[in-house]
Amino acid sequence: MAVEKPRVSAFNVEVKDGVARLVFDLPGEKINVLRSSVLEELSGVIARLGADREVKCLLVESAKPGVFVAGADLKELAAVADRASEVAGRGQEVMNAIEDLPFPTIAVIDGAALGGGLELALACRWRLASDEPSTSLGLPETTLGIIPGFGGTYRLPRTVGLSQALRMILTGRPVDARRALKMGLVDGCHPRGFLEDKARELAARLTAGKPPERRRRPLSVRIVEGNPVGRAVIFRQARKDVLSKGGAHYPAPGEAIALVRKNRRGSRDAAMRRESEAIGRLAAGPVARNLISIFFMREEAKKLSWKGAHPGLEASPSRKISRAAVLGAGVMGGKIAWLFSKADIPVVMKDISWDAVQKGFESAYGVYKELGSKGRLDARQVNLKMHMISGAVDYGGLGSPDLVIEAVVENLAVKKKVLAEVEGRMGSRAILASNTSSLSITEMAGALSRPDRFLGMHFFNPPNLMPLVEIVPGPGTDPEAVNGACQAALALGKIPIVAADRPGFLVNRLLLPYLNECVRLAEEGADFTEVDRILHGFGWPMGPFRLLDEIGLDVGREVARILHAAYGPRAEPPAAMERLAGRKDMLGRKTGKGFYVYKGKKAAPNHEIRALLAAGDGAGRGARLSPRDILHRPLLMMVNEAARALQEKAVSGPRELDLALILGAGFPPFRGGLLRYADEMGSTRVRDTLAEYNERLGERFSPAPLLESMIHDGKKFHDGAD
Amino acid sequence: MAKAGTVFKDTPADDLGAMAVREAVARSGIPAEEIDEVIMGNVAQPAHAANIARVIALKAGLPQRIPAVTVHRNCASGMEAITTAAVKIMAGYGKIFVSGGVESMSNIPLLFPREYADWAQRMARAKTFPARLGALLSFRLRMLKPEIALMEGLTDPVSGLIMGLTAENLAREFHITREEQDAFARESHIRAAAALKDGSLNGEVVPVPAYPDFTRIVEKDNGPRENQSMEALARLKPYFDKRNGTVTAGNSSQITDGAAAVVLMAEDEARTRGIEPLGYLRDFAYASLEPERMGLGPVYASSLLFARSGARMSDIQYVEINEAFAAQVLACRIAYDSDAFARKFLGIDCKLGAMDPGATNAQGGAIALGHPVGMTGTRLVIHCLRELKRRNKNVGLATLCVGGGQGAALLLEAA
Repeated sequence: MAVEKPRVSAFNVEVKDGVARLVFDLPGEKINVLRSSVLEELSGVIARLGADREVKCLLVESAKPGVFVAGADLKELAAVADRASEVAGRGQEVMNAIEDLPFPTIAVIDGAALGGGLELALACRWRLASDEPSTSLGLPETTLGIIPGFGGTYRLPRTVGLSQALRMILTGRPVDARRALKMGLVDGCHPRGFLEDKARELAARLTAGKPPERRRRPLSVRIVEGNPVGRAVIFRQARKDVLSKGGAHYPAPGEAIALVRKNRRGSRDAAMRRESEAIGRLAAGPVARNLISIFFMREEAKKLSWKGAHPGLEASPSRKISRAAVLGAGVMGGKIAWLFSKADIPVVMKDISWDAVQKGFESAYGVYKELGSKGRLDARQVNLKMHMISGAVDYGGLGSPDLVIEAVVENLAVKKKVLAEVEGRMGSRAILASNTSSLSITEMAGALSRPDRFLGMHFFNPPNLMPLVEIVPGPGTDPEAVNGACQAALALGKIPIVAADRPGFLVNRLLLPYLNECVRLAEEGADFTEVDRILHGFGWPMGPFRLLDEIGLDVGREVARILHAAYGPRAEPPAAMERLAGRKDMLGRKTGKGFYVYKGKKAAPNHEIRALLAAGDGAGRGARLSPRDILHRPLLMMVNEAARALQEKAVSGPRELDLALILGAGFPPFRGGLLRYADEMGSTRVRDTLAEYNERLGERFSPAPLLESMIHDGKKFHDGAD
Repeated sequence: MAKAGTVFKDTPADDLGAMAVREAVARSGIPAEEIDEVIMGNVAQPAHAANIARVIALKAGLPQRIPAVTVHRNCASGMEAITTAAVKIMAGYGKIFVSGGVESMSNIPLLFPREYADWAQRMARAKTFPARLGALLSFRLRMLKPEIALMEGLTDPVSGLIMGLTAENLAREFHITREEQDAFARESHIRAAAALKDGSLNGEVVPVPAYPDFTRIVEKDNGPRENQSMEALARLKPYFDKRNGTVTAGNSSQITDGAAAVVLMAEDEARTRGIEPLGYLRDFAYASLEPERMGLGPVYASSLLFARSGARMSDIQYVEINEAFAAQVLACRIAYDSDAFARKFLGIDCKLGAMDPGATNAQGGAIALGHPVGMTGTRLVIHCLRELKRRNKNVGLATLCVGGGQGAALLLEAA
């Protein structure tokens, strides 16, 4: 009985001289993904091939340029999260069927083989990869809160050994073809032009019964992994690494370690069952749901799908930045210049003195040095990238940049002057951007004769690591310039979020009320280490006081002042803020101590600062603060401000807001976002808690009008399906 | 420019050149896509950057489709880059050229002798144990004695003379004393140091970061010595001819790293684009003479240049002449102004005419600033034009002597 073919086939099969080629070519898509319908078809194809007496060897290939198989279909996975173990089980059956084929199988990998794609390749007996940069092999599932579900936890350790498998699964980071060859993940690494020939050659050898010898794992690996003590050390190290990276909040890595350990022995069927059960548990949980949802938000942001929320942006064409300039070299300017050089965009750093320019060069080179020491770039690449950067102390050296980013001191008069100076040196289509974090774009635009080409582009510090850029149009900014700035941010590997020109823009506007409230808690007698512990426990990468140390207490105070002036009493900084910023020797990490004393990588609480914190009026209210209050007061201040920002249309929607806080402030991703968290708490409970605090602690907690209307309409922040 | 072995010692020639080209292009305002070719002069072409002009063009961020060629006329390489471009423009083989010169004398390598290379090859080829042992045993310690490529490069293979000895020849021929040479050298330092101080080199020198770690920006040339005294110069021993010599390290040009670049186009092209040029190249000439008298090259080349262009020494309002050696410049000075010399060597009846020391090398020369051999030619042209402008004068001559027995002379006109 013939299996009925789907209408449009995802697989083309041809058999020639006993060698079958199975070419994966998902119709109507740029990439191959494994979804249920595809797996069904694949299952049928494999069954037919397995029964075909003529087939002596099978090549598995992709017709998509730069992609072998990108993985499972996340959209489908998100939709059937509660039946994930079923879907995984089906996938496992297909992979098992491939593994059980009665003839040799070769995966021919030219492009990304990720997640289910790599698992498909692992089910083949041989793997050949092209040495193209686009070829990458990885299992990124744990970064999405799930685990490899098509047999990856069973087959990968058997292919590359325990420690390499754990590293790949736990970090989710893919490897290139050369590395894959070295670790035994692939059996050959060849130039694209010869890949097909090499595959045919291998097929011929295999059908002739003369298989090539496989690479053996390095002796050191065989020794360590070949005995129970070595293995125990590996597993213990893996667990330790996972715990140090926010472990408890993210169940997937722990599950993955347990699976790899258990699946080392026992039958394949048992291993598969364990794997599919685990993925079922994880996919149905909130962490995976949130992480996958954030993944989609990022993808939307990258495609600028939120443009629709900003009038005029939709229609404007995209444009390439082929030359850039940064005004103000310094550490920040140097690192922004680094971003351009990394993206191979020539950039000029201009400052008023060559000493300052030198600092910029050093700052940029420092980032490369770090990358170099991690083996990510070699000296030749660093040399070429550094050649993208040049210095200048006059405007003549700028050439004709398409984008100029001003990063001089945060002083309105200075910025206005510099912006007006450079404006005259730029082409009419060039974009002028300020990297201000706290000053008004509208006001700066007033100093310019071409305000339509001007906007804010706020990089977060340090710009080489922080993935967010706030794009802040002024009142007269041409949508085409906004679009150009978004494209530029993307070209630099950043996620752009368009925010309105309100003081603090979006992220700082939400972050400061949170930090203010934390300082208030300390004023009232909470120990700052306790506050840090609780909020770090909530999932923030660092507690608020550690964060203040990183920002610098003087900078924090300055931003708090600006926001106070803008938003009135609810943004009034606690009195301690002023006292803290007054101690010039304790301004945070940059002075060696703030709330903590920093010695190398260690940080110990700074007992001196306790006196400063408690010296004000709020001190000794006596009431022992409950952990619940310590958690909720700062977070709800943030939620409340977010509600106001949404209502003012300071940002186009809750998804953008959530993503911005995750990328810009480190809001814990597994919680899905601030507003997702608020939704989970429930609008009524949020409002009621705020009302209670409003009563007890002051009007800054007065619930935002949007909350009231949401409760009235029975809505949530995140309404609609996602 | 920086003395060899100092701030640019870890900045290879291709990196230096790339920075110069990038700045020249950025400051010209010409869109990089419109450049037709890059031509760079370089003498000791680094092993890691064959056809260094191409490496420089790419590192400078110029579009990949722009071709590049490296030219070599020894010390005149930086002029050859300019005149080659000029000829191409006149012949219609392109409209916009980037020309320049570069040299990293810090990075001229020591070479293993050929014997060592032969031995290494024998080792590599030996497959069996006895063969390997045999090859190993054929090793001799002398095989490791390096050849100093810098010295080899500065030695003329035909006459067998190192450049300093050709200067000694001229000192003898024209009876130029040690004191005269030292005084000339001191004047060069004083002029150059004053120029660095009063800022008359501003706009000509682009500060650049020193590779590889970018911990400093090199803002100024570091060759000139403000307090150069005659006593200090007198204490130096003759370097080339230890017994009877007069040429010392102090009255010779310095061994230096540096790079320079210009953008060239036809006059009407510049006019159409509304670009204000630095100046014009009116004519040029290269001439040859005995390798052992190479220092007189400027006189021979100037003679040919004048004959060809109709210009005369009296038209020249400012001269930039390379100071390879004090003896060599002083010899030229005499030869320019000698009827006898003109009759005997140039085949003309009367002398070319005297150089005015007051209108020659006003900001010093290679004795103070250094002589990155491949680069100097370009620097002389740039500096001559800028000095003409500064003096509000019109016609200038940039000239230098070339190892191997040549001279170059460029007739320039300020814009």
